[in-house]
Amino acid sequence: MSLVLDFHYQTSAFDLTLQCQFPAQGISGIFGPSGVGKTTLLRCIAGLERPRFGAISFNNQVWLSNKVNVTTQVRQVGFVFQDSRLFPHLSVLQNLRLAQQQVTNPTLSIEKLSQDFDISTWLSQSANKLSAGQQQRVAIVRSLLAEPTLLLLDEPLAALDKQSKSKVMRHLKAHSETQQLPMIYVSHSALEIAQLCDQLLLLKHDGSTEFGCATALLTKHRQILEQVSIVDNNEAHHQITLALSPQQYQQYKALGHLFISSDKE
Amino acid sequence: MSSDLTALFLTLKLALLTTVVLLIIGPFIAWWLAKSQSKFRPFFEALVALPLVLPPTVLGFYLLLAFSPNYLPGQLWQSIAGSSLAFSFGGLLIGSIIYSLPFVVQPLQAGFVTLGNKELEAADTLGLNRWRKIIHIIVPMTKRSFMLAAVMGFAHTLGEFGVVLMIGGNIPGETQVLAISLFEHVEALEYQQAHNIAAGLLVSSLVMLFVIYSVLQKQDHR
Repeated sequence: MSLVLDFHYQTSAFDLTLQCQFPAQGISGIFGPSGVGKTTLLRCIAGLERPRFGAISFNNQVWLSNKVNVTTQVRQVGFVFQDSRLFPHLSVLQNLRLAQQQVTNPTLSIEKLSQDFDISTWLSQSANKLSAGQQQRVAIVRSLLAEPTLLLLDEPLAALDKQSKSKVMRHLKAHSETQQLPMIYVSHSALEIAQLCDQLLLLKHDGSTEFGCATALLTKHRQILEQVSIVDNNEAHHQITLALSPQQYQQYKALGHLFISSDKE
Repeated sequence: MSSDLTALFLTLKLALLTTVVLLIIGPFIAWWLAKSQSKFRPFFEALVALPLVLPPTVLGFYLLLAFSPNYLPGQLWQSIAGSSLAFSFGGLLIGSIIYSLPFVVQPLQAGFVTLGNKELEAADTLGLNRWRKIIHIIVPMTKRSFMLAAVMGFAHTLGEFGVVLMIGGNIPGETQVLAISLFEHVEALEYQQAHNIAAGLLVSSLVMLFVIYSVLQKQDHR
């Protein structure tokens, strides 16, 4: 049970050669500086773009090879885009219903997920009247309601304030566990990766890659992370520690020296 | 007056049928023109836009030749339908469809270009199939363009003159449309009847365009 990638993608901006195997469970992070091809990688996995050479298979189903290119719909890959891409002519609830209608026997409740992700109060509003952060939360719920076999998230929390961020992260993680939905999570923030991800794919400036346990990789590559990560300030540090479980806090504290320039605790 | 009424109904029937046919085939042409990367695309764009710049009589002349039993299309039609397309309502309809094509295709094409790909990609990742994307995303999001296309196609067909004159002639109840009867009245120096038709066309076209632009403006403000 895994997502196997073996491909090569080249544009004028970057050159991405990749061989790796994501486990089809839990949350896998993709971390790296801007312009190394993180978004393109997700788009290739979703079938929205096609790499020049390559093979992608998921749980032993071939999604992409020389002969095969399975469409996005058939892959059943969910995608949370950086820009939320809600359907602007529909209300929030209609956006969610349209996603749920694609599932033959829906198992998830719109009400429950709306409460979890704090969007219940806007259900009747027009999608394009919401702020960027609100739209992003609706987009996350919408992608979950389509009940994909794999969910790709491309910096989904960039537009959210710190408090909503930690809440959304907790519910994403819980959803991944209870629904056994594997997720791939692209982020610029080492903190988000540390809190959410079990394993991590590190894409570096020079085109090389590294894959492994998230915590171990984050610790090992302290210097790279300091360069590329949006280093969270002490206030954010404080807010996030409040939102963490004791176990997560220990994990976060162990990583703390990576991100906090002067720890004033 | 009764011949003018006949002309009015014929004109409305022609405009309505032309609009319906164009709203069925127009979106497919417009979609291809909006999305295709083919190197032949500019050629087909030019072809669609041709009626905008060409004198209607040129189009009418070649259609007349094509409809005549001396040439292949006319022969084929004759053998299938048993009658000639020239000087018939069917021929008029075909002429109108070609003549009004750019007025329907161009607003739709512009709408599809503006629509972009983002929402469609999102729909793909939610699992919407092609028809659901058309019904739930594409048509509602380009509703303005469809409304504009329908009104432009309809209003433009109402004003058709040159093509009709060439391929339709002036047969009451079959091919005599309002613009032609207007011309007839002027030639016969029947200015009062000419006024009835001219002012009627002027006002109704203005009202139609005013209504559609008002509706579009209201949508902008929502």
